[in-house]
Amino acid sequence: MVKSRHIITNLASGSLPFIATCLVAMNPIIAHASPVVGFDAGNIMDDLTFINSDSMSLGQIQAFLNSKVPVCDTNGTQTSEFGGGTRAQWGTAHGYSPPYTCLKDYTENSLSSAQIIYNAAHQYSINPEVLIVLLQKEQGLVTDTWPLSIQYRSATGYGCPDTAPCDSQYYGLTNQINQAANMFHQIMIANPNWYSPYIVGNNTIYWSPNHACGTSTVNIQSRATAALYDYTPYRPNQAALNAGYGTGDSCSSYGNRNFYQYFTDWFGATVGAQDLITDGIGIYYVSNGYKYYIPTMDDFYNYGYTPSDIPRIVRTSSAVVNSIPNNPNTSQISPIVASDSQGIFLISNGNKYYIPTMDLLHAYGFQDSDIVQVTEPSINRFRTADKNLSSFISDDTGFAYRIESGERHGIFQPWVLNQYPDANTSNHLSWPTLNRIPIGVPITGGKLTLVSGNNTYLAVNGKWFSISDLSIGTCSGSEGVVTINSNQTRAGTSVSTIDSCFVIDENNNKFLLDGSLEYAIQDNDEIQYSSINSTDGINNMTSVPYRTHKNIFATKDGIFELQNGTARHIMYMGYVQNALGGGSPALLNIDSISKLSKGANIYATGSLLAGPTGGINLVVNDELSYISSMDQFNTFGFNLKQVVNVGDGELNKQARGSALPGPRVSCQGLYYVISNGTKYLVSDPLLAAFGGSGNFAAVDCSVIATLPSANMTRFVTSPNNGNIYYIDNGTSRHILAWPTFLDLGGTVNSVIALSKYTLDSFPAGSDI
Amino acid sequence: MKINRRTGTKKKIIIAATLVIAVSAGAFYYVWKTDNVGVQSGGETKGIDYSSPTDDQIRTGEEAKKATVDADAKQSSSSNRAPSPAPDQQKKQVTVTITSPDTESGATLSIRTDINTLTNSGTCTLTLTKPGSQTITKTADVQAFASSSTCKGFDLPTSGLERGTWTATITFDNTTLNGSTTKTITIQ
Repeated sequence: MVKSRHIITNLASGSLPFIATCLVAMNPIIAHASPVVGFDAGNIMDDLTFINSDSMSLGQIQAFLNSKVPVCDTNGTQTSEFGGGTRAQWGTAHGYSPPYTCLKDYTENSLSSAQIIYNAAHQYSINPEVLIVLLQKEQGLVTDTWPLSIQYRSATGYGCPDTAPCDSQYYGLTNQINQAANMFHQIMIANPNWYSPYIVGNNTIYWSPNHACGTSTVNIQSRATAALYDYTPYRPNQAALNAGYGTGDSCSSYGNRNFYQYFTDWFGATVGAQDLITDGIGIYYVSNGYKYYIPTMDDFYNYGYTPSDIPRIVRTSSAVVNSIPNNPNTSQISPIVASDSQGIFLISNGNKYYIPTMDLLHAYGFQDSDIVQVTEPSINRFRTADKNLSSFISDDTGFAYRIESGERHGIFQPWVLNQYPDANTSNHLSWPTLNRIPIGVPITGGKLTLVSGNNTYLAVNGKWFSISDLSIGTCSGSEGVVTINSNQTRAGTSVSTIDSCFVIDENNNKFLLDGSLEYAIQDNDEIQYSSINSTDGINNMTSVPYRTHKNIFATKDGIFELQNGTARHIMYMGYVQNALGGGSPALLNIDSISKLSKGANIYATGSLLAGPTGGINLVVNDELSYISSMDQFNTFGFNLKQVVNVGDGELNKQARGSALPGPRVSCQGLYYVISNGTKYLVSDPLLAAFGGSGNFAAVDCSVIATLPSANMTRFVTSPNNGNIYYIDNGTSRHILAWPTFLDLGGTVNSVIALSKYTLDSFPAGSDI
Repeated sequence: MKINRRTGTKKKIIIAATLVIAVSAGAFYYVWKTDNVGVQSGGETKGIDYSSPTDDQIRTGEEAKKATVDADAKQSSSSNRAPSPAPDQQKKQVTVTITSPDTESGATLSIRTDINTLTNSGTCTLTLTKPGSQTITKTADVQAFASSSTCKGFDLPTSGLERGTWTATITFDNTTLNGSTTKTITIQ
């Protein structure tokens, strides 16, 4: 049996021209039909359209078959199109008596033709529309109102060569459809046991079964197209295409043309209608014979798809998906696409931005291997952006970048952007695209603090520093704060971290930064310094030498001196004046020392500090000298009004010196007896009587400096009983009789009234 | 009378127009209800065409039908007159075509063939020759496709082939058929 596919050059597909010529003469309108539009011999159908097994439901298949045969001439009562009386008469004459069952009503093994088509489509992952068109172009079964049994027997022409009868092992509608679908499937999954005569690439293909017409080279671009040529190995020539459904010339073939014609008329485009595929595990973009994994929904949307596109994703088996090769250069979708006719584009948010030069492509950090060659329908699906891609872009917040050397450099200040007269940042790129471009060093003017979520950065001279908080930026001389999206400042470019206003450079120079000034710092190794490089420009400020401030700084909270890694609040100005020689303390504009721990306050010597449990203490040379009793307190002439209650906490911070000594003290070689707020000088001649120098405790002269002074004698009296005592050999001897007093040289004026505390400090000697 | 006749004609036109609109609306509704699988086509949306077939479509289908019947009749007639199988020396010639490639620059030379008959039996023999190079010979079985057949081969690593122009000859042979073809292939 010779196949309708290409026998006798019938209009369905075949080869022998004279029959076709006769038929055209019979139906002259065919010769004037509209030319075929859009037929591409190398891409008759793309792969996703070919395997879209879900394109029609069972109900839709049945409805479609019904629509193509409104009335079935079951009994063949109508006049035969081929002459010979009625259809029944013609059919009977050729061996095919009525009744005639139309495809829409045909059943085999209790399955309707629609069900058979549907089952095969899903079993072999082939578009049911392809199978429907195959039935039509091979046997005209879809539109036939009186189909003959032989048409069902060889419904898809499978197993029917040009030169011999059809192979009976393939007879029957179900068998025919399944054989055809299976063959298509094996080719689509590139089954290594099926050696497809035609493959993707250049192929030699005959124009028609009349081999004398010669061959042409066809660059087949899809496996689906290869499968169609495997089925019908002829390429329609231009005459066939010009004829629409009609007749071309003696070298025309029609099988693949009619397949294309029927499909486009009934179901739409054969190429570019589908470009997404899934096996239920991953979603892939398919173009130009390669598949590209879509890793995230952001990437899906970035290619211009929307949630409404999800239902139309071609669902198929993993075997089919896996058979579609990955692009050797990139297995995932790329933001760089190209077509032969339109050039190279950057894709973002479904827009395509024309890339005018390869240099610009490389400036964006993309390589030639990132370019994904796509089909014309694929490239046309993207919206054309208003402007070509340039070296300046912005993100969806309007934040501007300059593209250079494969990185995007954020421009954080409008006035900096304005310095580029050619800057046009109206092209807004999406994050999936932007994130493919590494972040480079920011473009800033001066120093700038950048806040991104919980992260804060300092941009200086094109470098990128992490800083612990805004105060670091302020003391480092930042000119302002800009809050930015975290995507604009992702890691990778920070050169170091600065977490202190104290910095140390590579030469071990230490500085306190305060906005526009940097103060040289000495002797404070316990401070937490941030290491910097002097070339980084962090401390590119007016330098203040150490000698002008001596680590003493005035802040809004007072004046502090930096000592041992702490800030000590100076409580009296004399300290500052002494330290600075009359100069003014450095006034900090920034609270640069706020992070330092607070050390003990600095009090003047002579200050009296008290706490609830710490008692009363005398400050002597920055140390506390404990006052053991109120008698001692009074003896030294202190006044309770002088006592400052600083609390135990402050007392505990203070350094501890020795307790305040007893009432006999020495200072700078002089010896005193202290009593009732007066210091009595013990002259050298009397020193032995007072027990010698060993009975006097050294004390800082400042402790007694302000006390009124008088000369000590050997005659003292007690306030309690009026007794007069004679100091002798370090003891107090009671003078029992006035004459004795006189004999010892006493006079009324020589008796000094001591407090009991002071008098008791002398051991009692024998009475006199 | 003329006026009355005109009025009658106008009424008929209005009725006809109304019917056309009603039928069109019904058809539109039907299509709208059933066509829910519209697809994107490079920005173009097209659904399933549920309308009646065009004359062109019907006629083209009829040609296919007629050709099938005619071909079957011709084959039957031919079969009835067919002599006994030809002896080997009178095997029927079939056309063998090397479909690809013309050139190969990759790692594998994949030579594909189309044999203009439907058979699963026989042997394909590939002979690759190049002046100055050793002749390469490979054989393969035959595989039937829908209406023609192909050799189940040939894939050869290009590493074993010198660059330049080779002459590939493929010969198909089984008990009743044979054929041969030659093509030059450039290895780059």
